[in-house]
Formats: sequence, C-alpha cells, structure tokens
Amino acid sequence: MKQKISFGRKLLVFSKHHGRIMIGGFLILVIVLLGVFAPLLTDFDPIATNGYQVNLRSGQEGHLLGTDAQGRDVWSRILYGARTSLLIAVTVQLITIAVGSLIGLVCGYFPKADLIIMRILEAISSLPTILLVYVLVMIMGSGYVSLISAMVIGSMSGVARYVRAQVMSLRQKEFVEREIAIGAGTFRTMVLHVLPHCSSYLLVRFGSGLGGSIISLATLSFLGVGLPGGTPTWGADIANAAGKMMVYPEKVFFPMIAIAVSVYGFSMLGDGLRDWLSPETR
Amino acid sequence: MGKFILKRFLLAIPVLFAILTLVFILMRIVPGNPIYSLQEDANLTPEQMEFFNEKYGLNGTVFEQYGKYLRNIVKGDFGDSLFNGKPVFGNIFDRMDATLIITFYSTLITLLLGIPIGVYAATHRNSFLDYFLSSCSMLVTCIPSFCLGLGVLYVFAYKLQLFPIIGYESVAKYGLWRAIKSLTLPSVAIGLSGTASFARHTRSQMLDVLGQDYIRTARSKGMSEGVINYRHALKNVLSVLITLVSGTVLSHLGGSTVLEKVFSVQGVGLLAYDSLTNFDYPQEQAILLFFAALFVFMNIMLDIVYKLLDPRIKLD
Repeated sequence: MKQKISFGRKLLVFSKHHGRIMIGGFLILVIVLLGVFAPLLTDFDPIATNGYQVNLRSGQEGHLLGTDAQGRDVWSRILYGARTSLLIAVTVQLITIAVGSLIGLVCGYFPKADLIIMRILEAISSLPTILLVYVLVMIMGSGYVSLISAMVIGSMSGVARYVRAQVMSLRQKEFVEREIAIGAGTFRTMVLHVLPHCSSYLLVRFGSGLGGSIISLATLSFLGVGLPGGTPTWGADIANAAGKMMVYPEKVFFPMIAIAVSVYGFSMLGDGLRDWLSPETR
Repeated sequence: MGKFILKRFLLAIPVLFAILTLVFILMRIVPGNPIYSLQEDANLTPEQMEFFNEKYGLNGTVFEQYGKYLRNIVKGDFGDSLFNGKPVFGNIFDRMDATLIITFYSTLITLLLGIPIGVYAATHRNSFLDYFLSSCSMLVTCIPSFCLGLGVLYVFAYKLQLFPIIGYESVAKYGLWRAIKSLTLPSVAIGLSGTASFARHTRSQMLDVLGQDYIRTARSKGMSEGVINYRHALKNVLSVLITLVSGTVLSHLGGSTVLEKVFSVQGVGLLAYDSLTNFDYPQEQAILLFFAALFVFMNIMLDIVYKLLDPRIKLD
C-alpha cells in the first residue's frame, strides 16, 4: 500500500535539509509583508515633514521608533523603505538576468559581436562598480528608470560572462551538434537547449544578487543619488541621521538593521538555492 | 619571462583603448555643455565661449572631438580641471595617497584575516569555531561597508576615542605613520566587508587541495599536520588565491570612494563625486581612466606573480 505523505510532512523534511532556504525565505517573507502592509502598520506619512516633532525618541508621541531631523516617523520610513528596496532590487536582478543572458548568448554565438562586446564588458568591469553606477546615475538624472538601468549595467557583466562561457562549452557537446545537424536555427538552439543549462546558475545568481542590489541601492542613496529627495530609502535615512549620530545613534542603527536583515535573508536564500540546485559548486 | 611581460602589456592596450572610448562616450552623453556652467558664473561673451570651447576641445563634431581627445592623450595632455584650472592628473596625484593607503591597507586586512580564517575552517571542518567564524563573517558581509564605517566611527572614534573622528592627516604634513593611523577606521570597515568571501574561497580551495593524493602521501610518510597544512597545501592554495586578489582590490577601491565620503577623507574618490557635482568633466574622465589603468596594471603585476609562484602555469 502506498502511503500518502502530507504536504506538512514534506515541508518538514525539506526544511530539515534546506534550513538556509527556510531561514532566508522566512526573513524575506517578513520584509515583504512589512512592505506590502506598510499603510496598515503605521499611521504616519513617510514623506511629510513636521517641524514641531523633530528628533523625538522612541515611543514619544506615538512614534514607535521616534522621528528624524525633519520630523518624519522613522518606523514608517523603514516600512516604506522596504517597498522601495525590494521593488528596485527585484527589478534590477530580473533585468540583469535577462539582459546578461541575452548578451552572453549573442557573444557566444557571434564571434564578431563577441570581440566588441567583450572589450566593452572588460572596460566596464575594470572600474569600481559603485563609482560607475554613481557616474551613470548622475549622467542620466535621478529617477527609477535611470537608477535601475545604471544598476543593471553595473551588475550584468558577470551573468553575461557566465552564459558566454556556457555557450562556448555547450556548442562542442553532441546534443547541440545534433540539433544543428537536423537543421535547428540558431535562436531555437540557444533558447531551447543552451539556456536551460544555465537556468540553475541564473536562479542562484538571482537570489544572491538581490542582496547585492540592496547594498548598492543603500550605498547610492546614502551618497544622495538615484531617487528624488524625500523618497523613503534606508540609505538616505542613514545619511540623514549620520550627522547627529553622536546624539541619536539609534536613528542610524534602525535602518541598518533593516538592510542587514534583508541582505542576510537574501544571501541565506541564495546559498540555500545553490546547495539545492547546483551542489557541485559548493 | 620578458616576452611574457611584454605580451601582457601589449594585450592591455586594447582594453585601455576601450576604457578611453567608454569614458569619452559617457562624458559626452552628459546633457549640456560644461562651459555653460562656467557661463552662468562669469557671463561670458561669445568670443570667450569660443575660446573655452577651443581650449577644452568641445567644438566640432563628436568624431573630431574624439580625434582631438586621443591626439592630446598621446601627447600626454589629459586636459585641465574646469574647477581649479590645474592639470587633471596633477589634482589626482595630489590626493592619491589617501585612496591608495585605504585600498592597500584594507586589502591587507582582508588577506590577513581571510586566509587564516579560511585555513582554520578547512582544517577544523565542521567544528564549533568553523561554524562560528563562518556565521560571523556572513553577518559582516550583510552590512554595507559604509554602515560598518559609521559603526566603527561611533565606537572607536567617539566612544573609545582611539582614533581621530574625521579627516585625514596627510603623509606630506604628518608623516606616514600618522597618515596610516588616521585611515585605520575606513580601512578596517572596507577590509572586514571583504573578509568573508575571501575566507570562504580559501576554505573551499583548501578543502579541495586537502583531498588530493599527494596530501595523503605526505600524511602516510608521517609528516606533521602543520607541515602538511602550511607547506604542502597552503602553498598551492595561495597561488589560486592570487587570482582573487585583483577583484578584491577593485572592490576595495570602490569601497574607498564611499568611505572617503563617510570620513571626509580628501582622496581621489571624494574628488570623483565632487567633480561630477561641479560638472568638472575633464577631471571625472581622468579619474575613471586612472582607476581603470590602475586595475589593468595591477592585473598584469598579479599575473606575473602568479607565474612566478607556479611555473606550471602557461598564460597565453
């Protein structure tokens, strides 16, 4: 008789072997829920300033974590900052994976394009990423579109190189040769046969890249570029509070916790996915 | 060996050329003409505008500008800063010491912490300290370096008053020792944030080597664990780790540009941010070139070291 295993039991077994995925997933779930339900979790507007209630300590006047130097509620800015961070990180990583794989495929298949594109990628990756992204954002002006495109340019070369290397090695394999021999087009071979071989790497790269995106978003908004002033971001909150750090250290500390927890969650998730999907790279 | 070095330098030329072009294009996409920002302050006449356009190579089509830009570079003329009128590379060399000290100091911290932690974690696999060290370094990785910078600033400079709170005591004025001391906090912040990934690579490389046959042979000959770990295994691991150093240095260089802002260190990184806000494009161009050239040059040096350490390697 075949015993039916309940979903709960499967989950238990899975979590026993993939603790990291569970821990990471749980932390990220918390951050996502905090971001999504931000309006229910706070009564304060994260953007409107209030000149009468600046620098309140935790708990004063109903402000859970106090207010910043402009009188904005810190808890509310952290909640809405989660929205900004997650939205940008996920978008950046999705586009990075898509554009990076496309460039990698093109490079792997068309040697002439490869020659030029690889030089450009080399040039890009010989500059410190954060400075390059900063320069790009300054050139394109602040706003979601320019911030996201700059961050994509800064992070895509790793994906492109990996996919390119995969294409180069897979082209020699029999199943791809067979595919070409029976007359499959370049596009079909690339999408149906080469790309699936990169999928587990790309998924892992997506998971671990999210943490990196959150760090670089925080750094950029700490430096004061990217999003229009007043947009709730953790980095901007830290920059704003850093001037009075000696008096109100906790105002710097709270957004840092938010950054650290979400990056920790994403890297746990990324590591867990790597162990699960491509154990050979461990 | 001489032939190899020459070849390596020749191969760097197309990369540097690509960087030159990329930086040129980046700086031309910038909306507006940098001279206009001068005009607002100085109310220039059309003749003066023409003079400045000529001086900064901004007249003619983009291709003509590019040609002129390349010709000037071949002559060694990278232009003058629009902000203070001095040659751009002069400005960079004036402030280079702080950035270079931070970058190399933090890289040293990363290596000196990362390698022993990685070796310990590999030789005492799955021990308590292995888990403890790896979770500690994981936690540090999750905090952006500027946050670590603010943290060490608060604890070591403000609470414990061991280091100056802000600013850089330059080599020229205060001597090397005080300069290094005043840059300790930013370097520690950057160095720590790179340690975890270095330790992790060291650990996995070390485990890889420790599983090889010649290690078993050495052990069966009755050699001590210390000799096996450090003389036989680590030596092979080190030559692989050399290839990781360049990426570490590059990311620490980027970290330095951010931490200079946190600690108000007058280095090249701060100059890079200020030049962009001042619309000082020749300066920005030169800084990007400088960083890229530094990276390319360092890669060549590391390749040479790599080859010296491991004669089996053929780098073509």
